[in-house]
Formats: sequence, C-alpha cells, structure tokens
Amino acid sequence: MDWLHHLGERVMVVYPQTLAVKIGTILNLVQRGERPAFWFRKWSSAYHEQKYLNEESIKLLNYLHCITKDNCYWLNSPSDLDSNNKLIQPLLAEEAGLNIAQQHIVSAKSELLKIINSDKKFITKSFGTAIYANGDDDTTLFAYTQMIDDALLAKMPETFYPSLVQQYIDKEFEIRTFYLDGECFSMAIFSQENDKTKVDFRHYDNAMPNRNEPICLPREVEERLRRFASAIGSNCGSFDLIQDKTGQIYFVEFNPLGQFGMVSHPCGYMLEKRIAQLLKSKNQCNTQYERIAKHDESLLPLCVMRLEQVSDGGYELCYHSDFYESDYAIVRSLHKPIDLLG
Amino acid sequence: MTHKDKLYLFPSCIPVKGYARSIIVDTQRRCYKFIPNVLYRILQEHNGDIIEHIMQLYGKENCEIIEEYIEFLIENNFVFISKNDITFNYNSIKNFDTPNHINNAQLDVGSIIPFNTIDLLSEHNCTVLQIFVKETADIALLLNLLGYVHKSRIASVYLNAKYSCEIEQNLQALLDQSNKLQQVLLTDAPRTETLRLGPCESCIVYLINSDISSKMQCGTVHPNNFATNRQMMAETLCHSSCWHKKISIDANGFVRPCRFAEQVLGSIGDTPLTALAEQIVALSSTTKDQVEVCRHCEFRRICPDCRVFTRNPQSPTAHLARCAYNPYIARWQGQSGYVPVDQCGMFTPKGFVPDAERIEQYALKFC
Repeated sequence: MDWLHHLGERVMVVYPQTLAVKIGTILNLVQRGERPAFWFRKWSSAYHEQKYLNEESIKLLNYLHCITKDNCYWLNSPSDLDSNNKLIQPLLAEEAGLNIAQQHIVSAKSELLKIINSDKKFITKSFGTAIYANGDDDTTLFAYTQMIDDALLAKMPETFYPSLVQQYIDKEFEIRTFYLDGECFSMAIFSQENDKTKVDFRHYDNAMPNRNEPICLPREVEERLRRFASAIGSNCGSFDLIQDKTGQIYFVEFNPLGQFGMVSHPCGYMLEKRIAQLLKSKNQCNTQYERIAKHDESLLPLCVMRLEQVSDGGYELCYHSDFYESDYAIVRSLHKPIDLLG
Repeated sequence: MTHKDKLYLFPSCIPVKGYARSIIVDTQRRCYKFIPNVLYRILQEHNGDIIEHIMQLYGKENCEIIEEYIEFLIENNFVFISKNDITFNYNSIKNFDTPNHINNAQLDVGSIIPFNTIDLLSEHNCTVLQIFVKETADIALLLNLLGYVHKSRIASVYLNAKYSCEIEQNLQALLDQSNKLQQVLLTDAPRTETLRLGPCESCIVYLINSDISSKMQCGTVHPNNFATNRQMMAETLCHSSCWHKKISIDANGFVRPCRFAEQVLGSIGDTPLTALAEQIVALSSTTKDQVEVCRHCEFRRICPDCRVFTRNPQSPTAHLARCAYNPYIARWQGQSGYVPVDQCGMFTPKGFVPDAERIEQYALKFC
C-alpha cells in the first residue's frame, strides 16, 4: 500500500464492512467506462452476523468481477475463493506435468491401516485451507499437517469423517513459490535438521530458526507451475512444493490468496513493490479522474480489494504482509478431522 | 555427507573480506563469525563445487584444514551440503528499496509544533521520525505532537529530550497518546536505567546519567552498533548507511543531511522535499567500499557509517575520525598489539595507502 502511495496511485480499500458503502462508487466508476485495476485479497465470510448478508456480499463481489473481468485487470479474484480444494488441485498439477504425492481419502481405521502397512510414511491434512476451528474450551484449533504415527492411531476411533491421507515425502527442503502473473519467486525452507518443523514448518522454532533462502527453480518446473495456474484460473498465489532427497520437486498445494511477506522479506524479492508496479501498469483509470474528482472526492481510480481487515493481534495477523511464522505459535496445534481427537 | 556432495553457501550468509581477516555475516540469525581470508576465497571461488574437488585443488597437505573449515561451516549452518544441483539466488538478497524518498527524519522541536513538516513527511511515506526537544520539554506540547504524528503515515517515533521529573512521570501518558513511540532517550538523568513500557514492552526508555551530548557519541565505531540484518547489508552495498534517505530539520526549518552536518541543503518551506531528497541521494552515493581504511575493513558492511565526523571534512571518502579499529592488524584500541591506522601506512590526498611491509612486521609480533 505504501508503494502504491509512493508511485502516486490513488487507492480505494474495500473491507467487508465497507463494501455496502463503496460498491455504489465502484459500479458508478465502471459504468462511466473507467477501467480500474482490482486486487482481491481476502474475504472474511463471517463479518456480518447474519449468514445471509455474508452470502449476499460474495454474490455482489462475483457480480462486480463478472462485469469487469473482460475490461479490467484483476490480480486474484473472488473466483479464487473456490479454488482451494486439495483433492482437485493435485489432479490439475499432474496434468500440468508436476510430480504429486500419492494420496487417499480414508474414513475408517481399518482402511488406514491397510494403506500405511507399506514401508512408506503418511501424513494427514485438511482438504481446504479452513485451518481454524473453535475448540471446546474457546481456544482456536489450528490445522497443522500431521504425521500419522502410533500415538495418533491409538487415539483414533474405528470410523471418522473422510480425511485426506498423503504419502510423506522425504524432503531435502520445502519450497514456497510466490506466483505473480507469470513470474515465480521461490524460497527454500531448510527445516529438516529440526524435529519440530520436520512435518510442517509452521511449527516455528524460535531458538534455531529455519533458513529461508531465495532459489531459482528449474525452468521446466516454473513452466509447469504457470500451466497449473492457468488451469486453475488464478494469476497470483503461493505454491507449496517439496524437493525430495533425490532432487525431484513435488507439488503440495496452491493457495491463491496466500500471503507473500514471508517470502519477500528474507529473499529481498521486493514483492510489495512489484505488485504495486503491476497494479499501476494495469490501471487504466487516469483520464477522467480529474473531472470526476471535482464532483466526488471519494471517487478513486484504483480499487484495491484487500478484504480482510488486519487486526493488531490474533490469527488474522497471518494475512498481513509483515507476518512472520512465529505468530502461528499462539494457536494450538490440532487438526481436522482425524486429529481433532487430540 | 560425503566428499562427493556439493557445498553451497546460503545466500543469507554473506562473507566480507578484510585486509587481515574476513567475516561471514549471518543475516537471518543476526550474527557474524570470523573466518580466515583463505576460507573467504574458497567460498567465493568454489561455491557449489563438489567437496572432493576443492580438497584435490588445495592438495593433500591441506586436506585436514579444509575439512576443519567445512566442519565449521556446517556447524554454524552457513552452508548446505547436497548431492543435488540447487540454484540459489544470490542477487535478490542484495535488493534494497523503500517506498519513499526520505525514510528517516530528525526533527528539532522548539516551542511550536511544525505541523506542516510532519504532514509533508507523512505524505512522502517517511517511516521513522526522531524528535529532539531542545529545552526542558513542555508535556502538553509533546502530547499534542505525538497525537498528531499518530494520525500520520509515520510508523515509528523516537523521542530525545533532557530529563525532567515531569517527563518521567508522563511516559505512560506519552505512550497512550501513540503506540508508535518506540524509544525515549532522556539525557542528564539522575540515574542510568533502561525501562520498558507498553503491553508488549514495545517502547524502550533510556535514562542516561551523563552530560555527554549525543554529538560526542555520533559516529563512534563499536561492535555494539553493528547491524547484521539483510536490509543493512543490502543498503551498505550501494549507499552510505549514514545519509541514505535521511534528513534533519532544525527548529527553523533548515534541512541538513544530518543534524551534526554543517551544510544546509535548503529550507523545508521553500524547497520541495523531492528536490532535497535528490541532493541526499547524491550525497549518500559514497559506499564504505570507497571510504579509505573502511574499504579494507571486514566490518564495512555491518558498521554504521558517519560522514560528518571524519578525518577530512573536505573529502567525501575520508575515514571516520572516531573509529578505534585497525583492520590491517585486526586489533581494537586497547587490545594488546594495537597501533593506530596511521602507523600501518600513509594518509595521502588520494586516500590511505597501506604499507604491506610494516603491517607484516606488526602481524609477526603477535605470532
């Protein structure tokens, strides 16, 4: 946001609570033939107390996207809200030529035991990225990726809600690739020496932090990531990848509305600046602005939709660009659905 | 690990070569370690090479030393050993930019609050504001000032003032006015103490029981002042970390590159901030790689620069007058064997010229 300000761009920020007030202005602007650039960030579907209004607001956004998508640039869009299915993503990734881990949907302990009877190790994780659940005692439960071990098996009932079980890849390191409209910005996370972070690096270790280092992926892998992004219909997001001990790179998941600060800062990618420059270059709203501005000061040519308000504390911090993994430490490590048993 | 594996230096671990020795700066763990210059050379020339090849190159007689070096690198987690080909990106780590022309501003405040100046700095995305209150601080004025800054785009405030009972009693009130207040420095205090205020102890208060004006302290070189983060390393590569994106505005609105600098760049009311910023850019283009003596010092990328208190104010590349380190023999003033830099060579109009023979004699004395 500071970069947009520095580049001389006028910005309108829309949160769920201000959509009702600002949507009229935006529609007005678009109907006058203006072509602002949009940046869709996060949309909290739980802002309004009434479920009805939350659903209505998303419909309204979809409408805005639908009427503007052919003429205006959207960096991420409301359609990204639906693309986060960990069961469908690997199918598209495989089609794009990426390696994927073997995976199963399991709802009974007996089935699970059959699968893990082989020498391979397995992990469990959620289907989507709804990583928060409220625990019985008002704590926030956080869906970490978890290794299936004897302790977890012992706690498990005979049958449970269908869960995703995935082959554990013996990783050399993890990779986060921020994908920005065709460009890839990759960071390797070296966490293997550290038992705490072995399965999911978000189990942050403050004493011996992981190394986060900028790397370049092989060209053909970047090309496949591009193919995947276009297949899933997204132009921006964060890939989770793993390089195994043999040097093979595996696709894990793609988060279209992922945060980028944790890749940008340690690697010096200046993603905030790049995003601002991209939005500036795509914004085609300058011509009539002066004239309109005289009538209505609140009419601004560039609409940045960053729709989840950043608060000072709590889990919402993870959407803030200056977010560091240590903030995850405030929530307890538990998982849906198998390990909600813990 | 086997000797058939490849040795990769992590991009966040940056070696810096000095005359007598080198260091590796770990920008993620915020520390540095000394290494011999020969290890610096190995890391420069053989990064990504197979360990066995490096050993062959240095001959059987040096095998043990090389092995020891590699053990040291692994122990400190400076390197990654892998049999795979990994393309680390050593360039992006050098990027440095902030969304503004001026990032730090020093502001002297007299009896009136310079609202226009604060507006101007805020409009230009200035991040850090360091406020110097001249006379005994008027609390009402300070509260008003902090309240005004709180509503601006300025992100953090550092307050420097002379100690008074009233100001000490009102520290919490000041912080309540704005949590952007990150540091308060009170000089001439009856005692020396460090306090922490705020819900996350985010505000540090230093009471300093001394009459040393900060003019005497500015520009001193001490390991406590070294900054080992990525931003500092990237900034010092292309700029003087002292003057880059910084301005100082006195109570009359006159702008200098630093509050101790004599040269006046203009007046805040008359000269546009972008024009002032342009002058600052030109002034801050001198890097430590160009400054005499510093260019031979292994600390040059982590040591804050000072372009005011130098040996020769007429030269933009003059050595820091208050530096007590001799990089030619790797000794601090007070350490045994220390001799001042001027005994290791000659200051000439073209800069300092080290005398290799004399330096070797001093070095031999330690052995």
